[in-house]
Amino acid sequence: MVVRYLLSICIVYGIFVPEVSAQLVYDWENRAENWEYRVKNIEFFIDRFNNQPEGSGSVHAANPKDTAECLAFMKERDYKLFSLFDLGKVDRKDAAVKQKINTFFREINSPYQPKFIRFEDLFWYAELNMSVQSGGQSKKLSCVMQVVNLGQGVQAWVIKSFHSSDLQIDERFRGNELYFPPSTNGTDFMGVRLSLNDPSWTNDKVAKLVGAPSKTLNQLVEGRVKIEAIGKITYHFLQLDGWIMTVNYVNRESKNSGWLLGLLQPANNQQKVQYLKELYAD
Amino acid sequence: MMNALKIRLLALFLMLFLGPQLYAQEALTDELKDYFKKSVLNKVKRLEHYITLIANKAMDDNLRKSSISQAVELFEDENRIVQISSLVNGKETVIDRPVRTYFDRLYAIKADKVVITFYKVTQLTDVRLGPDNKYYATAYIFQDTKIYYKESSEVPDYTDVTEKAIDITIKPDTTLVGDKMVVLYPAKLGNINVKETRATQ
Repeated sequence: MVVRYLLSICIVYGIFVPEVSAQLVYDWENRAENWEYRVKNIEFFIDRFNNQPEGSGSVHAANPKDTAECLAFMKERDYKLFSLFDLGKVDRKDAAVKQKINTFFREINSPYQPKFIRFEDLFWYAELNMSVQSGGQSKKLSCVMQVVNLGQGVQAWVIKSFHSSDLQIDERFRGNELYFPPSTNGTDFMGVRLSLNDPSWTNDKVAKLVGAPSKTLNQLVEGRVKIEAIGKITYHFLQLDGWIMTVNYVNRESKNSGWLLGLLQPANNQQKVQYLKELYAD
Repeated sequence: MMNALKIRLLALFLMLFLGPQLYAQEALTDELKDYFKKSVLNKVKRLEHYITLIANKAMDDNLRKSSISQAVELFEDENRIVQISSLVNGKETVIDRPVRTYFDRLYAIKADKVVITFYKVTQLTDVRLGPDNKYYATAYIFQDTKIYYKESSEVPDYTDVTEKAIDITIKPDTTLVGDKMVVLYPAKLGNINVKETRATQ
């Protein structure tokens, strides 16, 4: 056990040797191959985080009784976890950063209790920053969405809040009426923009909405607000014990591109509650 | 005789109205997922084929025109949106087009020669069941476009590579084949989103 633990640390530390990490980022000059390696979808991010084939959506840990298998799994997972960091933001000379990432790797990639994330997990969110047209002006509107499990294997993305200082909107939705297909993240929530701009869709939802009427939906129905574009999308992962991860799309010609981990911070449950409050009020 | 007929009609009724729902509520097995993925990849390949064909001015004009309708049929309906992108002075512009308009404009690009190719690998996400009993996934393609305004040009006047994400929908469809009810899973394409466009030389 001790040997495995030490090996795990060595593997992680090895990744921080500059030559190794430089190779990881700059070796592959071919654009198509960069594209192939790019994390194109948050589901691929989840698969890579779990050391599973991209597109599999499964979670299989190595057999903890098989030392060789376990070590091979951990080594490969360390490499994949590291490839998910936005290396443009990682200061490899900062000892505190190295310490934090090493701790994260040890907790996540433990040989006996590896931690995984799943698409169907609770407590991970998509934050959509949208520009809207209102009164002849371009304004900002943010929207928080969450994956919900509706039973019997049915999943959906659901709008949980709208917030806009420009439009003086601050709405939370407890129900799941504002749902979208589970793959809507794949096209950067394009279906959300098209649906919100479609009066027949919004009218139908206004009628079905439980609780107080939605100011945002009403303005969309009346044509006073129109979604121009969905800009920055941020995913917030709060389901890992002790950690918060924030993932954004990094667009650059490199293998280290696509949906990458921009912010990693240790957080207890109280801090997570506070983080969520700020997310909804953003 | 009458009873048997009634039972058959009842069975047919149940299969037609509840069949897809019942099936959809079954566990999504790896076997079914593999089948979906093959079906989806097949549809995406056909889309790539039609895009290449419609854009290719060296091909027979009637064939190009007739391919537009066939390409549109790959989609869930004509209200689906295809985003198109272009690079002007390094700035990317993205526009929404209804699917038929997209193919019509692709056919009519004002140039002597248009060459569109696709990178060999299409990547596909896991297949998931949505609230409307349809299955959903996303496919990613990598498109290389070269436009020559004059046939004699050796170097393209415009080039770009675009990464596109395609919404995929699979709606279980129960059909009577002979005396058996069969559930079919036709994959259809949905909205197509431009993820990124880059210039190439």
